[in-house]
Amino acid sequence: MSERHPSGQRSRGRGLIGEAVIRREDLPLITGRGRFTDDVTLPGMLHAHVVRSPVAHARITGIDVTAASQAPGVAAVFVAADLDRLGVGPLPGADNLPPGSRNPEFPVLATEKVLWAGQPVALVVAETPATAADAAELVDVSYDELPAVTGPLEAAAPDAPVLHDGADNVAFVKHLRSGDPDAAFASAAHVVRQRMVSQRIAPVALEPRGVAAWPGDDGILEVRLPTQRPHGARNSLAAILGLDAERIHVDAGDVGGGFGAKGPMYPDQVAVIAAARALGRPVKWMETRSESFLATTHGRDQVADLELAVAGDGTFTALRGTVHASFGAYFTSNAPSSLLGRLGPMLPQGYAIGSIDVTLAGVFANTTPIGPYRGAGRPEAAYFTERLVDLAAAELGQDPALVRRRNFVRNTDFPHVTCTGLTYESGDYQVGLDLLLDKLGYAGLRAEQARAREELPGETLLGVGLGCFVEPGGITPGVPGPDGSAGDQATVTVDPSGKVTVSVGTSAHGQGHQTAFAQLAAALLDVDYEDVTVVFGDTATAPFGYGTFGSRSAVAGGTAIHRACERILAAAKRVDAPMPLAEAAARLGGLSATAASGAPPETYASGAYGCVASVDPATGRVTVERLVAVDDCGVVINPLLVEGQVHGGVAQGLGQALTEQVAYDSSGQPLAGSLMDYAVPFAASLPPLECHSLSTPATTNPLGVKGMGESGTLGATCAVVNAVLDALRPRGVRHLDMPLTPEKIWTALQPHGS
Amino acid sequence: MPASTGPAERDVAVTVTVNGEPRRERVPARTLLVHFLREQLGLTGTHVGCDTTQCGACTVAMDGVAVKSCTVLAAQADGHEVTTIEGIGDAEGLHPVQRAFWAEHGLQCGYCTPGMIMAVRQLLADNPDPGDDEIRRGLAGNICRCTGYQNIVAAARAAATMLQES
Repeated sequence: MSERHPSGQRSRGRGLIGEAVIRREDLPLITGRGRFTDDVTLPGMLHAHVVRSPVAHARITGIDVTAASQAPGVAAVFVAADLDRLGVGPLPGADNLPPGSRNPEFPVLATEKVLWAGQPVALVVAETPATAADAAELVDVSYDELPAVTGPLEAAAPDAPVLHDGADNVAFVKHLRSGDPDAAFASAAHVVRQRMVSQRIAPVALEPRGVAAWPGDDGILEVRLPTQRPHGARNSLAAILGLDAERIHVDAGDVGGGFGAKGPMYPDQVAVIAAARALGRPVKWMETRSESFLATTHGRDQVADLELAVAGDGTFTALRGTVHASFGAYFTSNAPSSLLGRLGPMLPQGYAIGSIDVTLAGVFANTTPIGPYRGAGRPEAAYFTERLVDLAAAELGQDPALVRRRNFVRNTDFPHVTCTGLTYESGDYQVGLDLLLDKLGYAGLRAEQARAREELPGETLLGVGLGCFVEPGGITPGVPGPDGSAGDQATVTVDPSGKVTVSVGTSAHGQGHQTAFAQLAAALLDVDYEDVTVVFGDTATAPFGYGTFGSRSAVAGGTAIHRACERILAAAKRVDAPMPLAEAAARLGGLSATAASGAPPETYASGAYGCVASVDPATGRVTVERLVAVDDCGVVINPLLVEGQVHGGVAQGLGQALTEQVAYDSSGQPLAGSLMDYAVPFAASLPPLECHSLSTPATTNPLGVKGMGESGTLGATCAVVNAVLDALRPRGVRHLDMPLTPEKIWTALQPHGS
Repeated sequence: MPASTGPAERDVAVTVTVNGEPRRERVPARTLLVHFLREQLGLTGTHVGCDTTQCGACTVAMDGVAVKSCTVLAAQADGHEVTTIEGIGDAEGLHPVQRAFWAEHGLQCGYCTPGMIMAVRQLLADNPDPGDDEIRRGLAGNICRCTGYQNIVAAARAAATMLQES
């Protein structure tokens, strides 16, 4: 079967932008011929097993690897001292911290102390995965256990057990202050206060993490890594291993989902790569799912104490309060940016709020390190603000839709600079909300709800919830590429036969970039879609780039491709007469151009989501009846892919709202360590999703696109929670923290419930 | 205790007909069917996504019935027929369920997809004309983290139509 387009679709030219082209990456994946990291098998390959701390906080008083080293099939056992001798590590900690922050190094294998249950302590390398696992049982580690602390507030308390050197666990504090928040609160007619938790959750990409590494030709270190950032991984590895980056080849292959968690370089992966170098043989390691719950970064884990000042006419005037964010035992490289660059600055959302006074505190705790997880600060900001907005509407006695509309940044006020200093380039939040209300049949739902409350007070509780949001996307890190140019790079080559190859420094793990970027290049160059090949994910064949995270690739990779295509079109004009690109390329012996994106500004997509939910008061069980999404991500390259991103984000947002939580006991032992007790949504957890869109093009990049890969986690979390709490409001329930499990809801509904 | 003396490590001979071809191998007795398929036979389309039989990425058909190959020992498959994702269709001739997943954008990262396709195949064998709710409930043994299941349900429905028309 060849690639198909729904009938009537164009296969070339500008019209390709916006076409729902069926994905070209699917054929190998639906026939079992993908190339995932675990599919790599090489002659002489060894297999690794990571020995992890079984306790959350302890001093290591001894490690005896004698028995393990002598076990059948074992090639080597590595502990921290072995890696020291090899000149490996540590991981450097976090980027972009405020001045004065603490930023402890992150050891590859634990040395004196372990700081979370699951921290790597030793690595066993053996002939088969089973013999490595058997021998790992023989590694004898002695622990002198210490008291542990797991929650953000508890870890920030002055008497908490301290993880790292220093007086406490507070790694940094940053204040966001602008406008005149004191005056706004002093003159406010209403002040709405709430403590809200965005609970710790696990990304659960279906492919667990892993790595395969081996010594290649010419002394090149070959690394197969399921990563969102191939060049970033290569550069991190170079620094950690003390190698020249040019001596390392990273190939991501097919990556089975990431959601942020496959962005950072992890200590266990570094240990495996170091072992392959030391042993001069291929070594592979894949984490098990249960191991993943201990070893792969989690997301969220913040507690917000926030207040919203509201004037007598219902206008929001200021936000203030404190957000405590746990980062787990160590910083991963870009985790603090989720709080500092996203959660804090995005608290105003789409509302024209003039003043802010918010303190952001980052703390360490005896838990798995936090990393970016789909949204990475954005869903938390949207959730905290959208909860406050609903509480404000309740206090004002006004409809939540009306209160939102009154406070939105008006469509005539773009570009809009927030009180936190961000510039929203375009949007139309009123029209988005109106479209949602229309699709929901909002007025009818409210009438139905009022009738049900009147006539059937003891029966099923009906709730309608809104979640409006602004989603920043398209960030370009401030570190320039190896040639000093800013942003991701793209190389476009037209060979004399007219075939086009686009290689780009962004890298996909399910998003459909092969298809979208082929559409883009075919449109820009006016060539046939089928004549364009897209390459990424391999540092040997793709030019430098930052990979894919933070809803960045359409903006950043797309802009780089646009610039490279412009250069191609300019170069093609060297022929003496106007002619199609393929002919010009044939005359000129082929064309090639590389361009960098130049770090386009971030874009601000937006959305309005609605949820209709019912709650059975007898059991506390929530049924999500409807989920309606309205997204505005500017110019859409492929609506099929955009809707797919919305669907996935909505499911993850609903998971956080209703079922997912990484919980720990007081000693730091995880209570959810497998898919048996960590509840990701199933097919039957979701209603059919109703997706709609509008488009206010971005004005800050040549394509007009806005990053949107995380929108569902923003809109769905807010809308679902607001719907459930809307249902519970007549029963006197003001707020409950996620996940809204039946037990939590049932307890709240009891006469003496909290 | 030394690591290699237990009965689990003792090799056993297994003969399994995989995708129509008889395969005879000696494997440690504790070898799971999924590892037998992936490592002994190189059929890497069957994926491992968990270790507790929740995710369904390893779903294959044994004697025509969908099973999670992470919960079957290779030795239990001795004398049986196994069909994997590689056996139901390829680029030259896709199975209707494969075609439907492609046409309906029923996959993103593609990691759960082989198991999902094998599960839908079973679902449609049991119920050739399922409603959306039946599809959603019928896929309770398979987890996808990318698609929100929306287009997987659409693919199952489209595949049902294709199979009924063929």
